[in-house]
Amino acid sequence: MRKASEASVGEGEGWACGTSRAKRGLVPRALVVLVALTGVAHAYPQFQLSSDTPRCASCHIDPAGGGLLSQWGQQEAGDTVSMGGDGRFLHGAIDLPDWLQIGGDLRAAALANDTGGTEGTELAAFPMQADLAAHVGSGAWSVTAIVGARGAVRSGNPTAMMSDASTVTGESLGSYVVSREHYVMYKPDDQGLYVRAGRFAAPYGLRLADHTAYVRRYLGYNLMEETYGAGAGYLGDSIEVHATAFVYDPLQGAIRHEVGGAVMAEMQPGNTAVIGASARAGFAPGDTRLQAGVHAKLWLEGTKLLFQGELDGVREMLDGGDRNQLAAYIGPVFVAARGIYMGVAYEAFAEDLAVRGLLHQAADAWLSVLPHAHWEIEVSGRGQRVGPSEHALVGMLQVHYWL
Amino acid sequence: MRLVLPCVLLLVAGCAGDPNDRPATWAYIHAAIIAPNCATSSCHSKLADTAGVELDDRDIAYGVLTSRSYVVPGDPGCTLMALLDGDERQRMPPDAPLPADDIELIRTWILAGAQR
Repeated sequence: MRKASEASVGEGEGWACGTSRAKRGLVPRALVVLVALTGVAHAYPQFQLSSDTPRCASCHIDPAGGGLLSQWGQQEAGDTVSMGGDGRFLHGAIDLPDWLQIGGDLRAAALANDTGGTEGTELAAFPMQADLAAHVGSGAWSVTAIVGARGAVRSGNPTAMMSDASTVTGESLGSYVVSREHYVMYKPDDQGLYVRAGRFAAPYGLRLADHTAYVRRYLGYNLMEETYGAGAGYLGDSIEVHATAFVYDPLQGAIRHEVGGAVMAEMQPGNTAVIGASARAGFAPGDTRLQAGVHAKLWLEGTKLLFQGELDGVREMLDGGDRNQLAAYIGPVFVAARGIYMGVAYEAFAEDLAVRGLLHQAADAWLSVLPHAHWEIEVSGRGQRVGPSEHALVGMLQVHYWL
Repeated sequence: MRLVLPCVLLLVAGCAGDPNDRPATWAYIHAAIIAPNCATSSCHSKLADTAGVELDDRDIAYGVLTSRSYVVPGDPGCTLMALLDGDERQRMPPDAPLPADDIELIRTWILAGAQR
């Protein structure tokens, strides 16, 4: 499930609100850290099963979950997921027609970040997300789009050598506004077959909220890595399958100039467990990446614990050499009470299995409180160990409001 | 299940080879290290063009790094290395440092003349 969409971070000259540094006053770097670290939601997979909802598509417009909530999802946001309130658009102040669904996310954050350099810990506060999403359609056909402000640092001197390291030089409209998802979909019923075409993230794996999670960041699902493509799938009572053929975004820019395909299948036996498998192939000039993985969730009602994990293997064929990689995520989420979630996780990413010193490991902990429908407060911490000698620590506070 | 994945990874890591004998060539370094770690959407991609440093295209990245003296062939103390090491400068990448073996591979390439 998801009530926030993936990051389009704050923008503009004035977005360095309250930024300070423990040692030196380098605002630009602090901001680029924010851009890099923003853990804005791609999906909230902990709500699957724990909210007695087996399929993500029950609450989301997207058949694979994430993004704009359906009318049912909005009701659940007030009735089940948060401590109460009216989860409908603008708290129910406006009744939207059935053919229109609108949502959006505003998110602000503060963090402390230490990457082990000589600069020490840096502190920052910043707007993280400003997105508007809409779904238009009645019957089988619909159009869905998410538009948001693009995160970029616009202060500093772009021609200087060192003070510029996080300053955007372009001032085009595209540097301010971005649309990560926009697609046309044919979905005649809540269950059964669907097809769609446009820009969206090809379904794969757990679909975690945090784009810095290794199973997202290193597997083609980092920020702005949504691709254009055509997808089809099937949603059944206890099984769903999604297949996508994709090509990199030629309009708004893309990090990897990749074409390829992805498939994800998930079984939900008994409404308390999820077992899934995914595969993805991407072909870019000088870089072919083949990857496959398994993921699972298990909800233990008696203890209010949801265990979730993902393990992926990658074979990457690069100019100059090939390498094999592994990425993993595992951890429980504890539903302490309605609207109070806490979780820990262990992550690992073996950058090249042939070299021992290239293992990345991370330990995550977070507490998410939804005191009222539309509001979320999250405190999180993440420690990384990179190879045998490097480390990074970050703590973050997020305040999130969704329309 | 909770212990299986860490055990598998620790086993895998333990079995991994020690020598960092990967090719110290620009083609490999760009594809394996620079592109995935530096050319992310909010940083040094064409999309963001942060600081005017675009690193997602191999040839453009080489041109930017050498023409703006981030990389100075034969100089292991050049700006790029200072950024990666975090020595009295902004450390890059800003969310987590590169593994020491990756930094050493880049240093080896620079010491060998930083050939394209």
